[in-house]
Amino acid sequence: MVVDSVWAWVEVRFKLSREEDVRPLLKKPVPRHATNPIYCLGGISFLSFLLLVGSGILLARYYVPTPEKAYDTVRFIMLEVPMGSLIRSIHHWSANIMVAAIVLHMLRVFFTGSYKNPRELNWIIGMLLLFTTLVAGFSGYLLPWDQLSFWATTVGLQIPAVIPVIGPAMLKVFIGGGEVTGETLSRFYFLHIFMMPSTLVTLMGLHFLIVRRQGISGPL
Amino acid sequence: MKEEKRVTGEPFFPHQVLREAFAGTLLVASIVLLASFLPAPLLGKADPFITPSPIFPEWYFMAMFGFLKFWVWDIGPLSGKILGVLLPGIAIGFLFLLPFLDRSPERHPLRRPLVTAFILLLVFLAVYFAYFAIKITLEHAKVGG
Repeated sequence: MVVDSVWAWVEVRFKLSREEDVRPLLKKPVPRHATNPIYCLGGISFLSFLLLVGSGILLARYYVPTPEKAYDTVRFIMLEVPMGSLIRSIHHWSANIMVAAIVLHMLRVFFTGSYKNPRELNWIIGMLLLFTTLVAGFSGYLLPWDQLSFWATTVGLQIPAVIPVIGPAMLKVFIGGGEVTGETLSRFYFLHIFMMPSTLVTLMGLHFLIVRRQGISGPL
Repeated sequence: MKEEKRVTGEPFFPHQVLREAFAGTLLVASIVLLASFLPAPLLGKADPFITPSPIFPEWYFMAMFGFLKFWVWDIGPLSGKILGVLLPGIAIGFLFLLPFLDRSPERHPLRRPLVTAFILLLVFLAVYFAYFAIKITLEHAKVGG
């Protein structure tokens, strides 16, 4: 069979089925208490993130981040692109579910006391993941450039604007001034499709590595 | 540090993978259903000269937004506006440092009532201020016509 010879070709080079590598990966025991569905929430937010990346790549095919074109391209996605409305709506719902799943995951970690020694650092990384996700959500909300996104962003920016000293500086760097303009749109686009996703991937990698290294916290 | 008991369990593959595949399928199905029946909204093109009313931030910023509207009292040199951001900031700071503030090895939530009460209070306040934000925004919208 072709499949067998392809597999043999790969196997000779990468030794993928070497017993001592595969066993710990696939046969690692999952503690019985951790099969409770509440332990799924972290995975749910990760899967939502994967859906966001997939649908986001498709949306980026059509979207143009300028005040003149942004709205029209999103409208085009909603009305003309085959299944465009579905793809954008999947992006929208995955984002909301990702945030909700993270919050619930945090509550689970809190109530099972899983943030305690030796897992302090992973709690901090988790908090950073939450904040990165919130910034990703906030920056993404502006991109359609409709009345809702424009004014929700304007209202939302009242929050950082009040912070003494760093507030105005932050607005200057991330918004490009005190008001929502085309400058804001292009900076938010950069945050949304590059800065936040790459930060999330890096932090998630660390988050999962640490879980793997330390194991799931014991039963209560 | 308390030595953790060695736990027995089922192998990751196929037992856990099957469970996760089930949860994942359920998630994807739910998202596709939601996306099909409640598509993402798109209003009219942004117009900096026409403020729609009422206008809400995303639900996950609602509590923060609500507190900013709720807290109007100055304390000493700190204006009400600054405190509106500073006080939730302090709560978030506590949350960040939680593992370093709560150092007892006790893990069951009922056996560490103080920390559990703090988290439940945060959850309650978040829900309350989100509700407050919606209420006050709707009232303003009515007054503004």
